[in-house]
Amino acid sequence: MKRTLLGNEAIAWALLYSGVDVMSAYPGTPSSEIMETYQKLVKQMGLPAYGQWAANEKVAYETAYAAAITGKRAACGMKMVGLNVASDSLMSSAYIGNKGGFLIISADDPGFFSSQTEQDSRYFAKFARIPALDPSSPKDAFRLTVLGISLSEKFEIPVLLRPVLRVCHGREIVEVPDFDFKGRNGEFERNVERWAAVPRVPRLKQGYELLNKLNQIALWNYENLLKPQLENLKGGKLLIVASGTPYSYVLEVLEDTGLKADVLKVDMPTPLPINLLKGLISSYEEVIVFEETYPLIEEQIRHLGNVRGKLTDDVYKVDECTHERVAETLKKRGFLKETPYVGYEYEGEIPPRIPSLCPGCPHRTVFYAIKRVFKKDALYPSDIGCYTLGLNQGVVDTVLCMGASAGLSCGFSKSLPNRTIVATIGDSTFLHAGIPPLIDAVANRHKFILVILDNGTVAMTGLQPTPERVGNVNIPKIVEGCGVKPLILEYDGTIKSTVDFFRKVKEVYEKADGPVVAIVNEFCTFDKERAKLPGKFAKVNQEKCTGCGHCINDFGCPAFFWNEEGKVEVNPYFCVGCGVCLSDLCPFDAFEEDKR
Amino acid sequence: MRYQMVITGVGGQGIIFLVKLLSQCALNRGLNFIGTETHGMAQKGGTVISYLKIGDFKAPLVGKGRAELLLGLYPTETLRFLYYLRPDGVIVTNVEGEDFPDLPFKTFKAPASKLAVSGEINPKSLNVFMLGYTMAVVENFPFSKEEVEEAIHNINPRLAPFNVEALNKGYSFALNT
Repeated sequence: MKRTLLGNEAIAWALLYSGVDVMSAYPGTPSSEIMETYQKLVKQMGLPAYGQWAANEKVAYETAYAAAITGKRAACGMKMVGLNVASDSLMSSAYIGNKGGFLIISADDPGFFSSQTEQDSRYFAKFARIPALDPSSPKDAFRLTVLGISLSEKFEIPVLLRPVLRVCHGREIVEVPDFDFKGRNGEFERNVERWAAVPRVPRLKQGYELLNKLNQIALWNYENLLKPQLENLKGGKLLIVASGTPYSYVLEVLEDTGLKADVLKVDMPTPLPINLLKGLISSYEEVIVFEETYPLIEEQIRHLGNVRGKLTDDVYKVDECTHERVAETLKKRGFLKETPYVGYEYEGEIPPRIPSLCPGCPHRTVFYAIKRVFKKDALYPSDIGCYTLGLNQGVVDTVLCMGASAGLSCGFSKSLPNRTIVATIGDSTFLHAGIPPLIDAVANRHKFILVILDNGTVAMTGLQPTPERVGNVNIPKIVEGCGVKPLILEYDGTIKSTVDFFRKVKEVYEKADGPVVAIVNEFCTFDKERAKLPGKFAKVNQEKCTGCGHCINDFGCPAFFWNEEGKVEVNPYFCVGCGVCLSDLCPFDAFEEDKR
Repeated sequence: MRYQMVITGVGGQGIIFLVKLLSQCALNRGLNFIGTETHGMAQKGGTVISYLKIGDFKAPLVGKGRAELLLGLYPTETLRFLYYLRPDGVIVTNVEGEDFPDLPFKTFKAPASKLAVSGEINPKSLNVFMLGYTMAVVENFPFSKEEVEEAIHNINPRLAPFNVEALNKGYSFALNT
């Protein structure tokens, strides 16, 4: 049946179509909808399959991998920076391999749309010596997911599927054939030489086996994925080698411009049958490689002929692929006289829309209170989540990676012994990677305040449930178990009690000789079960407003804006009626209730 | 049939719903569809942009200077993405006040935010209202009102009456102004 599917939805359908009966994932844009869809479909269709959100990507990886060891078909899902976290398991499991098909789905984000890096997960596959598949569209993602599972089972090796943002959040009409879903019963065959291979001899053996597998897979790549395309190639002047979404852009640019060129699609950028490609690559006057994000294919084939790409400065090097960028390269190399992708740019000024916390978000009140109590001299390490946007309020000084607010604070406390350090971290991020640095802080007496902003959901990525929500995991008890008794605030939507709470935290901190933990129990305004918005809308009394800017600079609700008289107004279309600004925000008491 | 379209606005306005709706229309008609949407951090009050390509396309993004229609649910965001329009492309935009500039494109303006704040339309249905408005003013819009209504029912039968009403409000608002 044909369906209109997000790439992530297509991947989830393909997993079920392939009989994957165990999936585990940690949320992260742009990957999150894969697990959401998997769980939804399993529930809707009543399938004998299991999908879960894991505490972090390493746990997600291991949960799914264990299923594949027992002969079940399994998949794990994450964004590419999550693969860093899971990489310890990845590297070792590549040697050991699996029984049932095992697909690692790592979604990349060329262009840094919602990520701190644009790292190319395909390199991790090459590094770990496993195959990578690089889909070019949602439809292609369905095809390569199915292929990946069977390939993994055939060669007993983990396979990486690397969809990029525009595949994950692309939408296309995809044919999902009818299927009967059969789960498998897991069986563990004791085989110490394999599953518990230790250094040196058993691992050495696996090292040789892995290389052997990789050579066979490179041949399989040639026979099944590359060779069938060769008869369509006409030879001559220009060959474009493309994988992932750049392949789609190349096809459209050729169509839009009428340029004739041979195109070779690379489904599996690693392992490549380099020797078998030599004749082909060297037979063209010029070969241009388009791929995202780093030059993985180009690096492997550049010595085979006149190969152009990122390494030769002919193709853009950072950011995502677009029609314009493909056309630009073709123009630069003399294949196009001009680019057809030219648009009219508005010349007036458009104020930039920087991402900001949603109207009514409790994080904003907490950051405001922290700033008021700890002032601008404190150091504010923060973490990965919506609350990174506290940087708009001047209370986020560092953002590194998951859990690093606490880890960096350990180091800052020793390097900057005279600075007050107030770190902020969300509940899910704390459970993901914040616990070991807290243990370290207790053990080594690192003095800082760790504020856990607990809204009981993974808000940033679309409200996935947290361990607290699904299994009564208790953050205060975890903190206490690490060796600190936390101070706890039940957020009540007022500036006053939030400020009072942080004054108390400050007093405790002044006497402390190790970490102080403050937990604020909040909600996400999109969380239908927990959000408390009292429906108190705001307006600004124009006579009282002096235009001092305190509310915009330090609080910064997106509903506030400067009017032409240099005073603040509330855009009623954005106001959600949280009522926070109505008291203790404006020094001149200019906010008033807008009774609707 | 080949039609490229860009929809912009700010996070939370329900642009993804419009993409789902129009891709469902394409599916019902047996046409191909490809596009891409904004999810995640970029959504948080930030600029949201979606690309919709109906017919035989392969890539998710729309090239600069290639879109036939730019539908803007928020005026600043409409202006931000003019470069996607073909020279003969059409703009349909929500405006706040009278200060939307004159542009070298055929432009249709609806005061949808104002109608939402004053309660004449539900703020949550501003997206579908603007789609209804678009369908009344844009001559070569690829789908009929009946097709969009059918897709609304396909996607969420429970909320269908609410969305069909918003669609018709937008449609008749265009005819009466």
